[in-house]
Amino acid sequence: MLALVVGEVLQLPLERIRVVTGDTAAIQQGIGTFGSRSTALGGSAAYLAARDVLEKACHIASHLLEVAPEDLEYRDGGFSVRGSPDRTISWQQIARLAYVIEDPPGGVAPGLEGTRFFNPGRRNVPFGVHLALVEVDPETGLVTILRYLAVDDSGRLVNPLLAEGQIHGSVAQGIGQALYEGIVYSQNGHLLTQNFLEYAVLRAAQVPSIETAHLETPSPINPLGVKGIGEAGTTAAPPTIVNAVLDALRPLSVHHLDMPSTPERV
Amino acid sequence: MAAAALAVLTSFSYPERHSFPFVRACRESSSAIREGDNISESRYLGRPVHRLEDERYLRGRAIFTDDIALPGALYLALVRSPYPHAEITNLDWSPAARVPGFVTALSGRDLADWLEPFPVPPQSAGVSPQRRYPLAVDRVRFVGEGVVAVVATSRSAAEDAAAEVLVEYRELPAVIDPEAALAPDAPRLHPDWPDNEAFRWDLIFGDVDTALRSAVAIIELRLVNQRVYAAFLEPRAEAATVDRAHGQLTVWASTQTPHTLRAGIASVLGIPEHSIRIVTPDVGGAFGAKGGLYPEYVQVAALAWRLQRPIRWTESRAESIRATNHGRDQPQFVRAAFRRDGTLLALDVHLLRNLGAWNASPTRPTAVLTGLAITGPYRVPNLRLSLRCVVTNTTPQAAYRGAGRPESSYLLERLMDAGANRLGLDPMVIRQRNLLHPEDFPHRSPTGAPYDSGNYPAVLAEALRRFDYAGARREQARLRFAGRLIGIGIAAFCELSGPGWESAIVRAHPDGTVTVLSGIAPSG
Repeated sequence: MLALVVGEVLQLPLERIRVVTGDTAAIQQGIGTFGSRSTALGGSAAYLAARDVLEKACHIASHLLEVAPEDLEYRDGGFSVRGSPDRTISWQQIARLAYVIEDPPGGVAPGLEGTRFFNPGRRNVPFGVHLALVEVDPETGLVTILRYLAVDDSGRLVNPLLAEGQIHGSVAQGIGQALYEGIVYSQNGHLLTQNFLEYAVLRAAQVPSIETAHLETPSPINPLGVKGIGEAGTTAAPPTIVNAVLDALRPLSVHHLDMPSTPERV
Repeated sequence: MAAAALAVLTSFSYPERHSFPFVRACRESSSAIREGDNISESRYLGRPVHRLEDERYLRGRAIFTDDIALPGALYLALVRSPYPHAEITNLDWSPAARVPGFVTALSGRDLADWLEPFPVPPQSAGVSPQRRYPLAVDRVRFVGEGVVAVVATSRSAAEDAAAEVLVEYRELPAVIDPEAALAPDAPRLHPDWPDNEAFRWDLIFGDVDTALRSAVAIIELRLVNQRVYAAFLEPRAEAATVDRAHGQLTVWASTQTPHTLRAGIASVLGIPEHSIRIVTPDVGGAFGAKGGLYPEYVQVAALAWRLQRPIRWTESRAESIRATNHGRDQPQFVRAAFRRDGTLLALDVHLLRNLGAWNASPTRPTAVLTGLAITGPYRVPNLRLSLRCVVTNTTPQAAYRGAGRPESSYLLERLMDAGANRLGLDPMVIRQRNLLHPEDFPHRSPTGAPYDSGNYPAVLAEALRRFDYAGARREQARLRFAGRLIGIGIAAFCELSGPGWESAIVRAHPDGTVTVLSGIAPSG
């Protein structure tokens, strides 16, 4: 995600961008990865820092090509003068010249980097509607999910493939809470669920086919227009599934059910 | 299954390639980057791109904390409490010392003489102050709490030695249920607190009582969002070593929050942050439960620092289920007032949160997010909210994927269905009736949370269309007639995502390649 955002701004192939995370000796103060925050906050910080870098590169290019910055075009890793396509300077040349310490082009400070701390001051609010079709076996109480649809609006999608993965994974965990998982203590405080025989984690074969779709209402509080997506399924799937099971049991006048809605409970 | 998954992937229609806000931002700036105007198609943003790190993961080339080579490393094993609540009356590790490979053992009392308790950051204001050490000091408060740290030259030696440590306990009455924990005569976990309440929040918005009196339907629900375990593939793990020449402590940890971990270790050990380097190798799942400051993570760092030797620890699955922070565990009581047409008039919500033995969040408990998000995507003119976070003799409870928001969503969506059922409305209709509309934005919820943007009715309409909701209801009726138990479930939800701030450095090197450094990191 970070490489995509920076590659977009600097118009560079992803192979030329290396992302370094998880090392406090290399990375200035940061917070971390949780709360569906990485793209909205880390992605935005990277976007703004990359923009700073591009601004400086542009300043250097305008000096070298002796034109005003607004007469320059930047595309695919190269600046050219508008109307004179043969007057160009490449991103590599700019980068090299940015580290000329004596008499730097345009009098810029040496180096070509940007540091940004991005703080929107509040959280973004993604939204979604999930629907499920289930069947309950009247003999065993077993719940089978016949269909699961997730329609989410998490603002702009930076990478639809990763958005898809986040929905799949979080819906799977949400189904786990709805139907299978639960830590149980005895009355006197002893943990009764001590291993995966006693604590039922969803297996791959129990995850239904998950259909997804996205609407994109941009967030106005970050420059990418993005919102969180990583926790959509754990938020939506438990009530979606339990509501579906209760709907299935309505002809039997069942009005209440707790999670996990295991066959025994159903 | 694989074929089905593939079908879903290929049938997914990616959005049209769109120009990103990048273009707009370029237009606003004053320089050549204005040429963004001409970028009608984005290079990467909005397009499906495979992650560069996927190959490493899929080919088994990822390097997790347990894979870090650390020659001569010692191994940590823990003696953990078998009791939910007890005094430690006697400790004798002399039998453990006879196990070949044994190096040393430390009790909580040993550590407390030398270490500071866990820091209490300003973000946790309002939470009853607790003095938590990396091991239980004199008293255990949950099954699985660490009692003695045993260090040996191999993992098996450390485990064998830990099994030889003799600990005598005097059992104390335990309290497991958060409601019972609030009773005046309940066993108390922290003797310096007046009761077992760690945090409370009360909020009144509008006039709930008047709304309840004027309502056609009053729905009461008692729900339980049960306790769960974040079953990541890679269990918690840490390794640490000390560079004696430079006085530098390097820690490899499977964590979501390396800087928070560094600050915590620095504070507990009383050494400067610049002496500590936290490295997060590949992480095999985290789901919220690898954030903050874990006792075991502090122990590994503290023992490496104290012994001036490399040391490592990777939990077993059984340890993980007992001692990794659990999630959720929130009994909920809601009373709601509806008009005949399904309009929600008031919410009266009482939330309990079983925090376990300690508040393990570096901030206020995650249940605060349930409170903040308690009106969800709906118009709620009147609200009364009470939240009680309670300590009990159970494993500490903190963030798990969603961290408070799934609990509010579960309450609201169960309530909407119960309301629809009572009023004879379709579940879809009652949601349409109450959803915020585009003209409501920007919106501020009764709990004070600002909502940035949204078009909720459009998403609902799209979901109903894709599901062929009307057709599905017809099919359900047909199958019900044939005796089959078919159900349709719906949930509309919103979240409060992206807390705080984050940083990034973008550094172009002289050859034009670029390094991006950021405080976020992939979790697997």
